[in-house]
Amino acid sequence: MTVHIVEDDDGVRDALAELCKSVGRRVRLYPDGEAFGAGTDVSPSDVVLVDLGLPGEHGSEVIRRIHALPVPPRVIVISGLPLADIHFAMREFANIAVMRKPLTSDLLTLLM
Amino acid sequence: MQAVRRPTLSEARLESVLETAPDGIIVMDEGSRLLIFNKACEQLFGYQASEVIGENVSVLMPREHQDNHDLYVQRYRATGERKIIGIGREVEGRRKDGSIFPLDLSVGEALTPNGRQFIGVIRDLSARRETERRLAAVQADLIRMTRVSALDEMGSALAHELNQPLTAIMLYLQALEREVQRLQSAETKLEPRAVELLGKATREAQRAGSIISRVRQLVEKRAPERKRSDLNTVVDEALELAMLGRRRSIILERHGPETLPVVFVDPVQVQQVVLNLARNAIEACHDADRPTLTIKTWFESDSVCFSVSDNGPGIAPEQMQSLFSAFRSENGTGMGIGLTISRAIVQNHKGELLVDPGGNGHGARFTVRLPIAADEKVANRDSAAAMPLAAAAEPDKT
Ligand SMILES: Nc1ncnc2c1ncn2[C@@H]1O[C@H](COP(=O)(O)OP(=O)(O)OP(=O)(O)O)[C@@H](O)[C@H]1O
Ligand SMILES: [Mg+2]
Repeated sequence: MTVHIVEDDDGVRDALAELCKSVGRRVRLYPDGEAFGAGTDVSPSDVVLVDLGLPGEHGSEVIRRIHALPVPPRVIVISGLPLADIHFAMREFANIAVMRKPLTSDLLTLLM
Repeated sequence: MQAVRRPTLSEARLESVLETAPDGIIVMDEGSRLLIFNKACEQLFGYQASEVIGENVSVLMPREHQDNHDLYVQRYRATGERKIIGIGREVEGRRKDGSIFPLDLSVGEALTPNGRQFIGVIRDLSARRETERRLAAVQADLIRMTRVSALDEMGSALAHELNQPLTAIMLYLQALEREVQRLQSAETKLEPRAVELLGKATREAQRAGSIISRVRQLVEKRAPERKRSDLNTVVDEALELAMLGRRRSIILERHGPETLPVVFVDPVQVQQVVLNLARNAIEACHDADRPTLTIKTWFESDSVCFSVSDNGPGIAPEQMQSLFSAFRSENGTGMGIGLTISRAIVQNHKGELLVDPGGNGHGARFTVRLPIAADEKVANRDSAAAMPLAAAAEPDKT
């Protein structure tokens, strides 16, 4: 299982990668939604961590594309946006875990 | 040498002129002994004329200059080289009660039947100094006010932006926890990898701390403090503040050589100039196609420069006249003092703030020149000359 990390902040992206690696996960990193692309090299058993506030394409756009895949992988949203903005951005998606920055709950339990 | 002038006024007329003159007038002989000490002088120095006539003029000077004065006169008589005669300058006087005050002194010289005499005209500068001091205090308050207003705007962005490094810290620390747990179960020592993670966590913690402290520096009331500074660092730190929370809506282009000659400036004040210009530029290009803020740094023969430009509409010709007048904001959101303050700061640093208004599809461009620190000039002349001027003015993109 590979963890795909779509996050524009260098520090946060690297920190997420380190955490995933420390539990033996492989990682692939993308600074924005465009770099992530259509998500064709994501396998159904992978996990995608998506930051909502990305430069250029919005994070919700990335999720929409993932959900259009034949067998969509699991998505976890990370966001520092105000709660109202998160709710608005996520209104069309059900059952997606959202983690707010700075992270309070344990991301690892979600990744396991 | 001054034209020889014989006293032609009758003594009576001379006296009335001296007594009614608004300025202090003294006359002394070649031996620095006071011959005339007028009414205005009595008020300025607190001595009666009768107390000082015949005394050495040095009774009117601060003690540290007293010994030198006779030397000055001697040197002038020997060399004819003028340090003060016919020039006039600001010096300090000492009152009878010992207090020191600033004065403007002009000295003339006359050859009389009784030998060479020196005439001094004295103007009290304490009032003007006091006004200057008050102006400086008001200016400092204004400068702080614009910082605070800039901060208001940054407040919420700041909270958001601080989340990023804090999030990273927490993730690194979580990873570290895993690492330590693993080590404990394997009963080995702490590995380099764990140390590396600790280092990363510390760096992120420092990032959060430095943002907070930089912001705090801007709001704190403080006396101006100049130090040898690297303009690139000063500019980049200010840009970090200007871009807080805007990295998604504005493209930042930064050009300039990696190293610049040192400037002797108050870094916080110069940062404020960068911040003011950048905020204006960001506001101006808000509706542009791809809003872009371009910042360049470079150096020329004896100045280090930076420019702030944008791809907004530029500044209308009719607005140019009042551009630097305070409280004439056109955009309705600001107080309209950003540019006024910025120019005052740059001028205080003996620099220049230039405007290219742009227009016709070009945004405005503000350029600031600051003199290179005195001891850097010689060292840098060579490297500046070795670099073609065009290259110095249009540095590579970094
Ligand atoms: N880069 C720019 N492009 C176009 N117009 C500009 C630019 N910079 C400044 N101006 C114009 O000059 C005016 C004066 O700017 P100034 O910074 O003195 O005041 P302000 O930005 O309105 O208020 P504040 O006191 O908050 O800075 C602005 O209102 C704006 O109309
Ligand atoms: Mg302004």
